[in-house]
Amino acid sequence: MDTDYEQKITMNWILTLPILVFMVSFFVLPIGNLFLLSSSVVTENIFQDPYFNHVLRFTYLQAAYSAFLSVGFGFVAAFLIKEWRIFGGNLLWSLGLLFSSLPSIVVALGLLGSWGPSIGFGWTGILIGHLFLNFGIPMRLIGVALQDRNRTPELLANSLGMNKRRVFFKITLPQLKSSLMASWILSFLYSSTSLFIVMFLGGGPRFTTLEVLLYEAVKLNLNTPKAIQIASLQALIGGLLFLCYYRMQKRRVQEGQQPRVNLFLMEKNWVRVSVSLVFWIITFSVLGIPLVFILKDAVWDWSSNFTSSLLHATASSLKIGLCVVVLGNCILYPFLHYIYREKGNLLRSGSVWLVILPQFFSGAVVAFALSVFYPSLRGNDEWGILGVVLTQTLFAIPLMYFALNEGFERMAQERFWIAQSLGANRWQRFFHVELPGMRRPLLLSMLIGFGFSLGEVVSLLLFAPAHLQTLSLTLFQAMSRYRFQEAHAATGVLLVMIVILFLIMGSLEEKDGSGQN
Amino acid sequence: MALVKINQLKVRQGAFELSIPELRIEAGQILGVMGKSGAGKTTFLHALMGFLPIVSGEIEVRGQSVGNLSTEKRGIALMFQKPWLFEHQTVIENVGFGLAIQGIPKEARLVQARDWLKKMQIADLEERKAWEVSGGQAQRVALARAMAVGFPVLLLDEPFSAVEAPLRKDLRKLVRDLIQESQKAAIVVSHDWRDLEELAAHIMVLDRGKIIANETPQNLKTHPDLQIRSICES
Repeated sequence: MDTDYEQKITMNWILTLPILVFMVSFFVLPIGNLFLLSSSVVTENIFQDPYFNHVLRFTYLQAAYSAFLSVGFGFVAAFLIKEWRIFGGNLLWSLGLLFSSLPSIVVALGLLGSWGPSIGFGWTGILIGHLFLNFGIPMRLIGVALQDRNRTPELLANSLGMNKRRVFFKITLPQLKSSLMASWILSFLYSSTSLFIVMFLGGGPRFTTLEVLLYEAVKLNLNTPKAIQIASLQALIGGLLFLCYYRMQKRRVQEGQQPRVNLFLMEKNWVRVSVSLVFWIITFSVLGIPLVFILKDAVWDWSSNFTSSLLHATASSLKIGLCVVVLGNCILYPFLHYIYREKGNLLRSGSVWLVILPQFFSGAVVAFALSVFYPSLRGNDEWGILGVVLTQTLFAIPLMYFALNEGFERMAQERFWIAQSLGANRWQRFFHVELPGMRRPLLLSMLIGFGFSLGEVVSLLLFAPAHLQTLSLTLFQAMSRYRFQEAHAATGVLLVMIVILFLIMGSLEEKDGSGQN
Repeated sequence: MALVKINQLKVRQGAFELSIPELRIEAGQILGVMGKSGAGKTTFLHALMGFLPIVSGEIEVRGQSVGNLSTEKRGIALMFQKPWLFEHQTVIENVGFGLAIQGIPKEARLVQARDWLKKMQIADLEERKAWEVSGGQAQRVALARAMAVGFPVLLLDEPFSAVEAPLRKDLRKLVRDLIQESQKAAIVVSHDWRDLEELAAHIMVLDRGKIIANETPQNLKTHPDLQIRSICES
């Protein structure tokens, strides 16, 4: 028994150490170092600079407005899809995911192409850009909360004479409070740390955010002390938002069978048709037109001159994406196996939050923190690619985690008990029961990680060696130099790849839903 | 000789303690286990399988002490209320799972698995994917899988409660015949009196971790203790 116990302890360390070492070495220490440096290296106080204060105010003001807009639109969409069951609801539900997975630089290009510089620049461009990218998050979070809520009190209150409007405000809305707050926090976070929407649609110093300022300090002005102060501030706010989000995440599982009666279903068909029509016209005007323009420009502006350079960039993107998903899975999968199969409950809550924590920090902050802590990663032909892969993996891991975690949660312990009772040892259970059952979640996590890597630019801007060209970097450079024809061509290739990934992901999700018995 | 012997078994789960002083199951015999919820049925099952460590006592299978062995080495095949088939495999692959684990070559495995499918009257489902078969068929596949592995003891946890009434009767008869024919020992945990009355030679009634009766179904029905009769009647 002692040998068994020792073997188990050794195995647990083998399974958990990779991710803990990775997160501590490439996330916790660099970010911690940033905070240390902000109090020692910095000589001037940026808060005394009026321009910085203007940027600070604008950053959080635009993020707050963007978050309200995204949550408002997402809430209406979720309600119409889940409660009113509007026509085309499932399509909008899926489109939300597609829009959120598009690289922000592609969205910026699409908005400029469709709305033109006069409307696309400034407040309108920034708000619509953030709405485009973020509305899917509140729509899905609120939609799931609406779907899973306890409907019994609503029906009881209605049967006791309370009208539907009061039922909605007094009973339904309070049940959605935590999902509304959580989606506002996430939308606020993503809007406050978005770089390319503000950079390309802001249109000047009046509309600059902290993220753009950080990029300028690191890349253009080479002002490291200033960059450290900005990055520390961003990291601090990211950490605080994470704590707020953490408190919102109280899991509420409704036990037992829920009533199927839908109190808010619109029974008058003509109202449902009219509302569906109006909603789709608004959605298409605000969100659909930019997407059409992106596709139109990509096809229209294609030139054979770009073929070879884009082929080269595509190959580099594929290689980096592959490294990211392989590294991400190699360290994440053993950890999740440990939690679910080896019953590592003690470590569970703490380590899981550590794994998804990078999501709450901006790409520029984490990449910059890494470059300060490991200076050899930057401006170095050999180590530069490692810097890119490490940063992208840090951000891909939280996304991959959700796909893998869902797969593990769906696997019933009873199947493993049955296999064990039929004589299967630990390795046989892993190869004959766990791996076949995790095939789809594994593939899904790889596609998600790959999709993220395809559109990621910040780590490339900071670490990529001069010879490295990827699709997203080509697009960024083309846009920065006003070479829109080339930008449209790169966008076309990027979009085709993302849409293919999205279609495969959609079919995997459908199969996952139908394959359970 | 008894196929399963339990002596002075004590298992603890939190504040709950299960105590089984002595229990014997002969070859070809089925022992039923009943009790209200919280009586210790699941604890007993988990202790037998090795999912819970035992505090003291002995569990013997075919004269060999298995109490300290890991689950896969105990020689006790398990079947639940839900069939829990391996969804990525076909029906015949599911039935041959335990044989494959034992390293039996594919051809021999297929012959044995086909034989079990015939006994279960589901030979025509052989190539179907596990998720394509109905609930009752899946339960037969699960039973074939547990029987095919060739272990001396079969542990069935509420094996028929998810099956509709007409199928249930057929399955009860099938289990009884198979256990007698194969001379295995079986333990059936159930809250359904009719299941146990039809299947088991003896029924062990548990209450708060202790055996309060271990009798034939006929004796239990006319037991003088009202509490025991009420557990059986419920």
